[in-house]
Amino acid sequence: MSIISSDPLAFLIGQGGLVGTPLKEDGAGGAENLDVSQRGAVIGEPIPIVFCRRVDGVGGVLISPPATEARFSNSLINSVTASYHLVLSEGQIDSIQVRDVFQRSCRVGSFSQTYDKRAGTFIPGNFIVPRAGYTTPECPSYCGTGGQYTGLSTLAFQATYPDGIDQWNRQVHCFIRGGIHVTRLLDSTLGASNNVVDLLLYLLRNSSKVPAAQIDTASLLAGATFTNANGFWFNGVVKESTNVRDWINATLQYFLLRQTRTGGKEAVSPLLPTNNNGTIKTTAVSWEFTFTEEHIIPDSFEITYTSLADRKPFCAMVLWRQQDDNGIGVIRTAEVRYEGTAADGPFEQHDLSGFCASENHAVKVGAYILSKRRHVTHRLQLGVKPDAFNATLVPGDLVRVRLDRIASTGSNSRHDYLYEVDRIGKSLAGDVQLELTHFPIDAQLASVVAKEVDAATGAGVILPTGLTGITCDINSDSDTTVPEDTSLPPEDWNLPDESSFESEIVEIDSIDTSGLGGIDSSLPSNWTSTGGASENSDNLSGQISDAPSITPDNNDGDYIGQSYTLKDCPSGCSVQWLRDDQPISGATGDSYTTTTADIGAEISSLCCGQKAAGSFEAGTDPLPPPPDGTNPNVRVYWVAGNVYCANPSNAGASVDVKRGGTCTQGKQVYGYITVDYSYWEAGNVKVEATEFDPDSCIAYDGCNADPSTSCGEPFTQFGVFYPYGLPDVCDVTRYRTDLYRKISGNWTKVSSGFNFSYYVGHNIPASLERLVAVYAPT
Amino acid sequence: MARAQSQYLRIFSGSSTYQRWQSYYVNASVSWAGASWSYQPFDADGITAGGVQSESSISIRLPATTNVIEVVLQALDEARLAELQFYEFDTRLGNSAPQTEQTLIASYLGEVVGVKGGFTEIEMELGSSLAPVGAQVPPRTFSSRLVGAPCKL
Repeated sequence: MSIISSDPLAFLIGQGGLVGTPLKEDGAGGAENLDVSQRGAVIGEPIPIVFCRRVDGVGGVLISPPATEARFSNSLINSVTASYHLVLSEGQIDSIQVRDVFQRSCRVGSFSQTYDKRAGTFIPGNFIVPRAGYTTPECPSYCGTGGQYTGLSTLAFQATYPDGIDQWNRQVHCFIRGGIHVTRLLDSTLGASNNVVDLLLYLLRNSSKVPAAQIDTASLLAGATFTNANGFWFNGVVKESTNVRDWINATLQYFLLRQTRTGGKEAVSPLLPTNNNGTIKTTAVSWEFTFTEEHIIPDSFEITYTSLADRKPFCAMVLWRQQDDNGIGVIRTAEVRYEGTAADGPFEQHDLSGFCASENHAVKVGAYILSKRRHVTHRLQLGVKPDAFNATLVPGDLVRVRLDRIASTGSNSRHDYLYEVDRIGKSLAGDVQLELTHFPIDAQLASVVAKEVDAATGAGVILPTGLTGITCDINSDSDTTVPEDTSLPPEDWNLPDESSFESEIVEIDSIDTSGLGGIDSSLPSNWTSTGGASENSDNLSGQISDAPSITPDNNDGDYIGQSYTLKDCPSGCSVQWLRDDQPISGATGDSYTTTTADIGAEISSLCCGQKAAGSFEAGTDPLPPPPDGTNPNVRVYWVAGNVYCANPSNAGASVDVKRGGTCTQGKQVYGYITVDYSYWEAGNVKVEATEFDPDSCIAYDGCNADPSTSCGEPFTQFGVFYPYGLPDVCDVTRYRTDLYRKISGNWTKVSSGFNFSYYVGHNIPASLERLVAVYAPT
Repeated sequence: MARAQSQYLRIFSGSSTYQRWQSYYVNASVSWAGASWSYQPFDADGITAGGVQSESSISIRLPATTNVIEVVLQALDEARLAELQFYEFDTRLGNSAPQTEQTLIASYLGEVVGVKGGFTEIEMELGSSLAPVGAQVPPRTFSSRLVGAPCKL
């Protein structure tokens, strides 16, 4: 039983003159109603993609573009000239010939086409004026403004109609022979294409921004080869706003393609076995792997047979579009059925008229649907153990499942079928779940469906559209010239640009919130801006402070003279330190150093009037605690120091570079040590600086032996030393500074010694200030 | 055969690779495919392949360390790709470093399309930027900038 195709409209051929009228008006529905009012573009509506390529008399599409601008004027004899600025398509399309532009169904007017800018030169507006003795035409008064038209193909159309002919407002149509330019997969050439895989690739890249690494280009190329070899071409307009997945699923099936995702990559594969050149393979097929009992996980074999109701004969009515060279298409219907079946239905309609301009394409799609429904009897699910197939099997591959069914009664049988892989699931445990569809073959191991699809062809009847009888053409139907692009460069138009749009943006800061009633539009005074936001930058860590607290946060080793700091108190907040919950006069900074007045008292702090976490009891120990790991008898005394560079010939008088700067080679260096510690009584402390080598003592000077006498009290600076005469002043030299304390009237060296490093000739970091430490015994 | 599976995860964009992790060789960096793969204790769902509608995205679970969070959030923000590969090998032939004979049994390349998780574990979803909802076709619409304020006819 073979598949046949017929077309009810084919009978019209025998009806002579009756054919012309219905086809002339609307192309029997093949094009949008031709004689309607020109429609305007609407903000927010999708911009159509015209995708077509007329090759060997097949293809192309008639479009009815929307207008964005218009101009109307009338002459002294009241003839109306209407101009429309039309958006043809996203992207650049082929140039349109004179014969391919219509208003209604008439080749009239003149036009100028361009890309990426506004077409033509007319100024939009209604310039209709009353003319004596004539009825003033009622043309629209709002005629639009200019735009950027970036990346769009545009056309400026103009036609003039005599007084009384109200056809100036009719829809303009254009027959597009070459649509949007894409880089064609098959020949790597930029130009119009009719290959649906090129369109798919364009949409993946431009609609969904699918990265190139996620596109299986090799499979797309195979798909493009398949559709091209079998004449499955796309000649249509993508204009309905839809989800790209939905578009893929609704469209690709009619090109006998399946889209799959293999290894995360977007891929396509033909629904039929193919030869190397892309044609349908009608000879023996081969399969990738044979599954037997040893591969299948027990109890994982699950078969589902298709009910007979789903396999009963039906007639596939496939709509396609006869697209003549005159530009106006005619909808045709191919009725595809198995011979002798479903003469009176049931009917199943598949509308391919939006993109299919080939009868054979439509018939083969119908044949595929029929054949699959008839011959595919079951589906199979299998769980299989990992094996060599694991790495190579992909959806669309053919596999063989051969199992022996051994029964205790009756004869043994064998389940031995070919299947097409629909889905592969690989678990971490290693087992693989396969979903398979029965792949019917004949005795020669050839695909039954492929053979039937390959054999199915249309009747090849071409119906006249009746357009030859139209007499309203002004332009010739053989005028293949392309009008000159008279468009002005964008800079010559007063078009809105980025800046003009920005100027309309209301600055948030300028919004008057005074009328918002109880809404307090101001931030708390202690809140501060964290600056500009960035993606994922709103981690609160480090941006919004933790609750205010006092650090160090324990009482261990508290001593008089220890400094405490209020941390995480927001900027702008008032601070007040408390002694036994009473404000301490003048203690309003972030830090507080205990004094003898604090002995035995609880010290706490307020941040913006709220008590900070933690408090401490001021100790009585007059000396700082020893650093960890040091002799408990040694205590940190001071931590400050500066390093300067100086001219050796004028040391101490000419400071060239201060901290953070760079000492120049050859310059001398000196330093001084600053003490800001009032606990120790003046006159009881001194510092000596010596070279690290204890045998070569370097003179020190500073505030003499008794700093208190020369530096004042409390001494803020003492022990200034000038390490003159260094053998290599611009090298790293280490010093030792010793601390002496006057005990019982005698200077006693109380430090354990420490190192002080100068980095001459290098950047001197501020951290050097902290390199110095003096240890004093209790 | 003492069968084992190792997983390798690479986060990249174009020719730039930002992270290479493996989850089999504990606390070790191993060399494989000409690169060094550091240890990260992640695991992933199984991998499926099929029609666009039938295939689900896959999830990779990772410890929510500072480094991991930073890496996956950057990958999410910048739509980076992640390639997950499963290798199978015989542990009797060596279990301390990748074997040259190991077999690639599954591979998945996806865009980092989602990140979620708990405080200690974070889950990175790999999928496709083919959004299942919303209209993306055609990609452009008439806007005031493109066409101004269109005429009313």
